[in-house]
Amino acid sequence: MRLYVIQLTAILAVWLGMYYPGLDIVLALLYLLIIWWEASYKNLSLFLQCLVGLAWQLPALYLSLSIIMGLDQATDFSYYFVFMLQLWHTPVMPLATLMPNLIRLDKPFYYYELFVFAPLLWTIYLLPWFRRKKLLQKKFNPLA
Amino acid sequence: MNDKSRIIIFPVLVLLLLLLVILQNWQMLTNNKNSVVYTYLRSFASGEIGSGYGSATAGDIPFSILEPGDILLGGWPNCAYGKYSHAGLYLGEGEVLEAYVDYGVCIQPLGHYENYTELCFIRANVSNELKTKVIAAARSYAGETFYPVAFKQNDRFYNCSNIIWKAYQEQGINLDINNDIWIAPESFRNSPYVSVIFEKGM
Repeated sequence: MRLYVIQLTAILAVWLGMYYPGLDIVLALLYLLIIWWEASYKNLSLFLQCLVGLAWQLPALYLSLSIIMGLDQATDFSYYFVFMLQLWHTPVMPLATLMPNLIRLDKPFYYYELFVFAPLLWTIYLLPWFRRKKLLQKKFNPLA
Repeated sequence: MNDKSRIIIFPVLVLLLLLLVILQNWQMLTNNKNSVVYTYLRSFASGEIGSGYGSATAGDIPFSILEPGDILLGGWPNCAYGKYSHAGLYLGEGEVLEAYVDYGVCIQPLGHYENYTELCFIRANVSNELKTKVIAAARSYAGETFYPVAFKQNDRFYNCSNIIWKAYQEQGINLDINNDIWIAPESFRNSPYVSVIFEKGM
């Protein structure tokens, strides 16, 4: 629930930040930092942390898989699937614009990034768990 | 940073930024009821939130009258942001500069404009020399990132309308009479710098 609050308000904040070019990039970095902190200060098991991260990015994963598997074509709103996916990833879109404007198979590079963001953000949410585990192992290593 | 700070930081930022954007555009928002902001709000109140839907009627579309630099507006009924839902800049030789969420800013063939229920061709009343510069600038935007509610100020996010506005604006022609924070396709239709050369609608 906390992650949803952060995600939804970050969408609005980064979008409003686009009004002041450059601020959106700062807010995108702040978003990543807050996600990292949010994951760092939770003492969850790996399984639970995985589950929370999955639940957080579930809307994006659902939209991405629907588009990749062509399930969106079964609806009258196929165009809106990509549209919603981009809106969901608004907090990281400013970072996508810093990448080169490459076009592959008629689509811009950022289009493919939209499908990568969900697993990438999920991974970012999981990384602090491994870091925490490593730090704990270091602390209690009897040979140290 | 504790649990509470992490969760309130973005809501606070949203309120602050919203306040700043409103204050900075107070004049336009209070004096101009034609602003696209009001169009969106009115549409939202009546349950229209998308780019509309419908099916086109068959008809002869005089694409041959188009000249490079002309602006094409296409629309569906129930569009949330005015009569027209899409805009494109004619580049010549059957090519149009457009912007879509899945293609970004791109160059597409002209033909698909016959699928719109509402269609309008408009011509900017400026010299051919200036239009050549507009087209050269417009072509250089291909591959840029699309964002549906992109602000005019931002040079990294574009939609179908503000890419055209920017191409003309860079040559000193402001096609947005409202000086709005966003630009909708219909804004071009109302600009004093243009003439309507063809219009079809139901």
